[in-house]
Amino acid sequence: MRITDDIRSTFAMVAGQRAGGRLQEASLRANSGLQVDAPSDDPAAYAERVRMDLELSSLRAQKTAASRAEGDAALAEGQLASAADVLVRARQIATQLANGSVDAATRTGLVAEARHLRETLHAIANARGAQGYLFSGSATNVQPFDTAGVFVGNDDPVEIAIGSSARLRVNASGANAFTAAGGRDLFADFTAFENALAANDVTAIRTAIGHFDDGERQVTRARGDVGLVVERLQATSDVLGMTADKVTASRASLVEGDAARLYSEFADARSAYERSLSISRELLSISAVDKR
Amino acid sequence: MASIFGLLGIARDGIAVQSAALHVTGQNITNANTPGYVRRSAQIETWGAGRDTAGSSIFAGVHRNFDEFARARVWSDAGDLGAATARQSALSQVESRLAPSSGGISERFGALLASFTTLAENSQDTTARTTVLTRAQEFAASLSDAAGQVESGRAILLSKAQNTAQEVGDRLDKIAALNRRIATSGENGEGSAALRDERDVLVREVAERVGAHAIEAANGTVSLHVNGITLLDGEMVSRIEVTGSPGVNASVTITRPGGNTIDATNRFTGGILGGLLEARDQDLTAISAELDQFAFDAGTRINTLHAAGFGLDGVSGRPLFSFSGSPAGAAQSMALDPGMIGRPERLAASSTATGVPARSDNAVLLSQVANTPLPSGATLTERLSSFFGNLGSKTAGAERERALREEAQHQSETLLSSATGVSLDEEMVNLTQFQRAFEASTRVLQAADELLKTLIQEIR
Repeated sequence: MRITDDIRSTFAMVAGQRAGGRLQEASLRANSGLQVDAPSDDPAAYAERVRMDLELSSLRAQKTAASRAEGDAALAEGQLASAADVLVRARQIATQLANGSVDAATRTGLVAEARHLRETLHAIANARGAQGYLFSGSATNVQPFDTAGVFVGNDDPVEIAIGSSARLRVNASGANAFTAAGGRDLFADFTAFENALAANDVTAIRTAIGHFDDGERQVTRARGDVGLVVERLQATSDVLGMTADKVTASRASLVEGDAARLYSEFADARSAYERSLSISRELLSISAVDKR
Repeated sequence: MASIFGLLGIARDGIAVQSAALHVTGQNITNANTPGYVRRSAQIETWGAGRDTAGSSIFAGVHRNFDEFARARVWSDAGDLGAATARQSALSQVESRLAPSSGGISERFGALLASFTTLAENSQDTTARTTVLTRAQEFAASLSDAAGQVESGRAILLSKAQNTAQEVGDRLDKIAALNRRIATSGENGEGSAALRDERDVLVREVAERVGAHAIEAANGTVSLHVNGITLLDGEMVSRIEVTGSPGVNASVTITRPGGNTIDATNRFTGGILGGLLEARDQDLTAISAELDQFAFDAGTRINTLHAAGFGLDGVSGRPLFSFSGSPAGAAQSMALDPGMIGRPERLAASSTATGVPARSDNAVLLSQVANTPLPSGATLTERLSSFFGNLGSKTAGAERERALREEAQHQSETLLSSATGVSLDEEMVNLTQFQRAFEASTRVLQAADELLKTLIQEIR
């Protein structure tokens, strides 16, 4: 085949363009650290990247939501622990007053304390967290128990999303903890106790002991439920975090290139380009024109 | 019988022939880098018997060394490369706009879903609600922008196709004029060769633009055809026109010299024009349809869930997005519903009216909308990742096609150049050869002159 000057110069140009093109691609990859930056780089990998990005965004948001919800749940658990203590003390007072052995001064003090315990329980039941009232269900902007101790909230769940299809209730049930929905209406029991004290009705006082026992168990059950929510939120947050880390690692191995390898490829491409230029220069300088 | 005067004639012929051959060599050297120049070679023959310089050399003419097969290959490959390059360029540009490094559709969609997750945890928080509306607006804008980019891409491709048709028309006129001059200049002669060189360049440019192939007639004129449609026959030029409008496929019409107009859209599949039309009316149309379907499915799904829930005002039935009633145009028309603009309290986080303000089960459903199956069975996540996968496959495929065609073009160019190109090394040899022969002929002339002088002196 005849080798013309056009063939030689075209060869040099094309070789230079190709080597230059590879150098450009290698430098882009080395600069960005990405080996899949556009859909055409690797269509299947990019499609997977889109899926992973959506999943990561969701996991991170869910983890943050779980962490934030844990705060109020833990607060509710603490409040219920305090409520249980109130009921234990109320039972103790009822027991002391039921056996009739206390003197008048002590009795007066115990009656006052009993009234104070009701106020404390009322404050606990109307406690607020970051998202509003802890025990009002979804009506977090409404104080759940009025001054008479009547429940005006609801038992609707406040939920967060977990994963792609699951959900988790994160609020405590004020209805189950403090009202007859859970077994005993604690405020009604306190009202009955106060009435029994005022009438010095020993039988009623003795009945109140049992009510306070049941109430304490009820509150403890509710506390256990919320405690479970707290544990689940902690575990969920941990699992979401670990899952996010795994997805991040998978994404990195799919999309990102190894920095050392990318730089090595860039160095190779640069050497190839320099070689190409040098060879082209040599090729184009050889001519019979100079030898005449 | 040989004579001294015959020797003079031989020397004269030799000088004339070598001088003409040097002229051809010089012409080749001068035009070594002239685009389209076909190497010439001097045709030297020997005089036969019947004249006093029988056996002398004669310059029989200039031969134009072209290879018809290689030339036809180059033209054909130019058309294929033109089509592949046009399509690859169009798809690359669309890809870079639809899949930017940040702020693209998938990022905005993920941010919207994340904002629903945050809303679910605290659905009465005004900041969380406002953020949802902002993310919804950004998601809608990303879809609308993407659709707009595709549509403007189609408009640009139509404009390029129309320009290409215009360029082809200009070149056909020039080829027709050259045909006329070639037909009248005759087969031989440098004038005809230079005209053919010029015409070959123009024919190649037409082939690159519309994938035409050429047929040369006995009188030296060429006719150009595209899949059975005659663009040029001698001096008769047909006009190409490309028309189109948004949302409508482009059409290519041919107006023949007699005035007849035919629709030739299906014939123009090669060349830059074919590549542009394929990119516009097939690739970008498919991309737009897939984008519209995703936008329609996402908008419908989210609106259905949202309308089933209740805002803080206890009202339900509100859509979150507004868009076209069918998939066609859904992406371009996607926007935050006017009733929701600036009204975060209307976001339907609760599934019951009594559940407000903190019940958030509807917000949970909205946050998980990407992975709930659509009526077709796929999920929005799968739809979106499939969209980008298909876009990438199209673009990568177009790039591979372009590289393949470029390699084929390079090979055919090499073959053509090998047959018709100038090699300065060869011309240097020719230069030396003809120069030496010229010098030798002048020596013969000197020798004949001295012989004559000697003879004349003897006769005196």
